[in-house]
Amino acid sequence: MNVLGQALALVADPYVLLVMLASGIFGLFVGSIPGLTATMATALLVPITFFMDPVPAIAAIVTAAAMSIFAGDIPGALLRIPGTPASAAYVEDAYRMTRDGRSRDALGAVLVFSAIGGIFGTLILILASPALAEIALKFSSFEYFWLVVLGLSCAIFVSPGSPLRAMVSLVIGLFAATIGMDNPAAQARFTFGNLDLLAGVSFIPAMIGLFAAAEVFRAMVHGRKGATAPLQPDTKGLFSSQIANMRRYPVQALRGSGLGTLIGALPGAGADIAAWISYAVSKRFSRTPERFGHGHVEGLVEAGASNNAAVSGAWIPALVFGIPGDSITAIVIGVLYVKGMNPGPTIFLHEPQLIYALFIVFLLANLLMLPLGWLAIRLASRVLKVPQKVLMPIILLFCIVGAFSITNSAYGVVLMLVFGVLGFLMEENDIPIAPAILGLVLGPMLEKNFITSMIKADGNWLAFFERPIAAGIGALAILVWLVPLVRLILRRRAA
Amino acid sequence: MKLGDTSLGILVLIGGLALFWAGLGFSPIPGQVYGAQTMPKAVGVLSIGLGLALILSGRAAGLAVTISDWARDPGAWARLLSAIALIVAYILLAGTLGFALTAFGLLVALMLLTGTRVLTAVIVAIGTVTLVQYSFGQLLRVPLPRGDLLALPF
Amino acid sequence: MLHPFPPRLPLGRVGRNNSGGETDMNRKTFLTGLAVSAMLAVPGVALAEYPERPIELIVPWGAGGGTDAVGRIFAQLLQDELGTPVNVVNRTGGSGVVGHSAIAGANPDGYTIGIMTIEIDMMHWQGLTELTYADFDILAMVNADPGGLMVASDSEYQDAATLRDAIKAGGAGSFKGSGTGQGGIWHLGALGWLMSEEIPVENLTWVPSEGAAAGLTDMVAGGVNLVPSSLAEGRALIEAGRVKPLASMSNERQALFPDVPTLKEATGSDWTLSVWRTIAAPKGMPEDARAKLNAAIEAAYNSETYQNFMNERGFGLRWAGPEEATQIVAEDDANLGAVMKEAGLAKE
Repeated sequence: MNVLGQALALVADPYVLLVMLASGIFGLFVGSIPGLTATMATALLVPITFFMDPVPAIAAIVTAAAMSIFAGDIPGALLRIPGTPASAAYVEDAYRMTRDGRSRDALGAVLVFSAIGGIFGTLILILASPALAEIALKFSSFEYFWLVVLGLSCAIFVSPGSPLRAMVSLVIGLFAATIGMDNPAAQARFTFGNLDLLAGVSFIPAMIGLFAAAEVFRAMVHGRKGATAPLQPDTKGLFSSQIANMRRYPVQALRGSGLGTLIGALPGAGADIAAWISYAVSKRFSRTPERFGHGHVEGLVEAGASNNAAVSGAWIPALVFGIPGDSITAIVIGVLYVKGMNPGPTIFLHEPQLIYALFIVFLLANLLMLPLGWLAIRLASRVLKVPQKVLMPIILLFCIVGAFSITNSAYGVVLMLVFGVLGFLMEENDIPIAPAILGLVLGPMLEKNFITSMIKADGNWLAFFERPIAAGIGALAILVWLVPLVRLILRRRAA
Repeated sequence: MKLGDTSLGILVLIGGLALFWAGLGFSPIPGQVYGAQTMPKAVGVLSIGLGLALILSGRAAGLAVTISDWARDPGAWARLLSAIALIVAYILLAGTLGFALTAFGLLVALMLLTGTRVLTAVIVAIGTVTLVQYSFGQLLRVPLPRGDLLALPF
Repeated sequence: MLHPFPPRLPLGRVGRNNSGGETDMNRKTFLTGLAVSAMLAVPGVALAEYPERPIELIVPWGAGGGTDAVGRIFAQLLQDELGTPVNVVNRTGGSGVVGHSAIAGANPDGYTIGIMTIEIDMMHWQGLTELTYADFDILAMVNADPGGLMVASDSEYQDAATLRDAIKAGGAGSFKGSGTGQGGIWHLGALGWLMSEEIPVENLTWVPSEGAAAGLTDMVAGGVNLVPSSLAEGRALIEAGRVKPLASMSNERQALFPDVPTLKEATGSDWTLSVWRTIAAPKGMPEDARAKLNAAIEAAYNSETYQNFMNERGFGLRWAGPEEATQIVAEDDANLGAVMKEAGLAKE
């Protein structure tokens, strides 16, 4: 149609394409450095976009954000430093694969299925935005409370090993999340008069500590020699092995993309919960659940697709109602206003060519991810050739700088150190790390949604089941806990 | 060093009791039943239950504490504690000495600790610090500590 | 092309206290011989003149929020005015306590400034910190957004007077509001309004939320009755016909919402509240730096870029020089303190 032609012409401008390429490289660079987030990449681009037309301005931000979220998986897989809580869901599998000399398979899977998830989410965004946004508007604290409970339950069930020790990890994370004053009552807890502790435990420095710094400490203890992990020989293309994965796990890829888009469209949820729930779903329905957490690619496929789909899904409420789903869309909504593209249902009526141009940019950004990501993986994999004794100190420096740049103060480094020692002790005791991260990320959401729900319902517990969607998710969350219990009892009876 | 279920359970139990006790000190939102005390108390109760479950599941093994292989090697302990001490030193010194100098010292010391040759360590450290200072400090505008003694000329 | 900023001057990156004079300069020359001699070859650069190195602009709130947006555009404009990079540094947490403390505690050499927000007039009443506006050198007020009164469009209260009467008649806990955290600025705005109408503050139960967007979505989902945040924050939902604005807590109607009456017009209440943002520095800056910064801030405020940006975002433009800004901040400190004490939100 005419509008589509206009939109294509807006995007096909060489200037726009050049901007996308440059911001794609920028996004990859920022995302692949541990501690630097997609939000930071976006915020740094904002002043530059002031001087651009609407389409290149949004294209720059969209491309940089998509790239940096994928790139966060690179240090996760190669060095066990997950860039975001979302990639922490499958970092264990990706890193084990690297140690087994399958780094390119792992990163290739994350790359290809990130792109698939992103494209799937964009298609849903194009086709079903208004309807999905209506559903998202029906979510209040009751629904989110159950969603968080569901997410937290996943942590226990996805962890390999003893469920009791996984619970210990979760409790550590939940406790850390109570520190500070950013709670519904705005009361300072466990701060001991310290100013920095008022801000609570920032989860990225904590995550860098638990995973990466702990890994450095282990290397210091064991004094391993030689390279960090064998570099995978370049016998076959990065993408050809993914075709096999696509044939083997088509359901997983679709399920991850679909669930990711849905959860991402909820302003109070987002990519973190999406990745964890998808990983848990993948393990639950897998034919080989015992291989999860030991370098199995299936979880990477599903959760990798899920978190990128969630990033696309976050645009649904942002475009239709101007409600930010995450900090990136919050920034972009501001830019949209400045460029005169006011978010709201009318955005589809007033200047449809701009919104279609935006959709084309989304699709292009996810496609551009494939060649740029391929290049980034090939370049970044070389880091594995560096001998461990040289690499580990450098990783530690990156940990320090990454943790610093989240709080912009030494407090981030202190957090990283404390959680690094904690992570080291936990792994010595076979306590998995992942549930602690989830507790730290979801703990505040659990508290906030519980307390606001109770205030709204005047303390009536039944309110958690009075709204239809809340009752549905709540029943699901309870089932997740009941089914294993019932099975256990049945097995005991049979025995 | 690996704690058996019983010893870990006792630790978790003590932690849970402490958390619950601390929760008693926080007050609800004015006019409400719930508030700042809810979450610490709930996590406390969860920990107490978890601690008891761990103690029960480990009752056969007793107070087992397994010593890992590395823990018998004093060299490993020395390397671990030095690494931690070096990070503490970085935290304390970076404000006055500046990022470049402190990070350089940290890198060289760590690499010597892992057995890298001195020349390699110095060259790698200079390269890494320059790269980090440029990419973080310059391109990404992270306010790395400037320090009063030395800063790279960009 | 990603960073179209002027390159940092190679000189002066060396010492923190560059106002020191000769000995300081000698030490620097000694330490960075090459860099300095290269600099001396550049004509017309005076060593001691402010600003000679990058300036930090501390934003006490996270990337993506309104304060961050104002901080970033201001940083860009100040950079053009002063000819030196101005870097935004987000220092978040503790309801703004962390960032405000970082501004007030910085070296007052003119190289650290920050955005001070209205929370500075609240945090010391809550007993979170000793810090007050008096610990800052307030350079200018650059933005102010009046509070509003919004309900869901399917609400049975379609004007502010009906809503007021219903809250008055409803009794304790009959209405629920949301839009900030417990004791946050919009919470106080709503309580101040109730007090001005002589309605007991217990009649409105506050449901804490992270920001106005979360409160507005909750209101549309049927969770709460009203959100008293700035109308600009509800703009998309208002335009989508989901939220109905009832009043603006300002002396005059807002340009962006000409059909929305002021609170005075709607209910007769004298209550007004505006959430402002100021540029502030730690106390005790050298006079030359202060003068330069003041001139640069005023020029940046009056620039077309800033005016357009604020209008497009729906942020309220408000200029006040150092004296007037300090006076406004002081008045709000007293007003908010009174509301917080009455509502039991202040620490005894």
